[in-house]
Amino acid sequence: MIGAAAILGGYAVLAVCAAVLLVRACGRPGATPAAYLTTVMHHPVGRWVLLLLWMWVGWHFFVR
Amino acid sequence: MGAPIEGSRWPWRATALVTVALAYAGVAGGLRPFTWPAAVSTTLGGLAIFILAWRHRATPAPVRHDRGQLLAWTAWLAAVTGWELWALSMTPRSRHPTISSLINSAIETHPGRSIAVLAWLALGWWLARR
Repeated sequence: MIGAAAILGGYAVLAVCAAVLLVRACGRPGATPAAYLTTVMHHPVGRWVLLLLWMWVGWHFFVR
Repeated sequence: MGAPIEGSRWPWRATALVTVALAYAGVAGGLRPFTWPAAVSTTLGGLAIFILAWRHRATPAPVRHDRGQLLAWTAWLAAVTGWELWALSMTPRSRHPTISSLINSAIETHPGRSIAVLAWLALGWWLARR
């Protein structure tokens, strides 16, 4: 049986991974999450999919 | 008298936009979920960002990206999604928290919810201008 601590530990590991990726991206503008999102937003379909995802996040947290 | 300097209008517009965004977040943060006012306010915020995105769609900026790092971010995103879906498939929620349930407990209060609305709007604004 997996408990809450294990689940939270998994999120903590993922947060550390994100921190490592952010540190590695320092001084490399093309390696940041902003560059990633900008790359996706550059494609017409990706742009609207990402905006719909953003809208869903708002609906999920503030309406549903 | 000549025409007003173009640049001098921007501080006014920026101030007005920030004021409207803060007021919107303040009001929207006080609305309860599962109500019509919450649905209407979120839809209005979304529509504003979609209109901005529509107006900015024809001016794509050149993109420089690091392919290896983008793959790393994609792998990280897949791992987060997988972990979230795995937690979501388990019950009870108190023993298997999802990112949503963790955030929901942080935005239960009016100030917390208003900050979340402001962050959501700011992210949409940023995305729409890419």
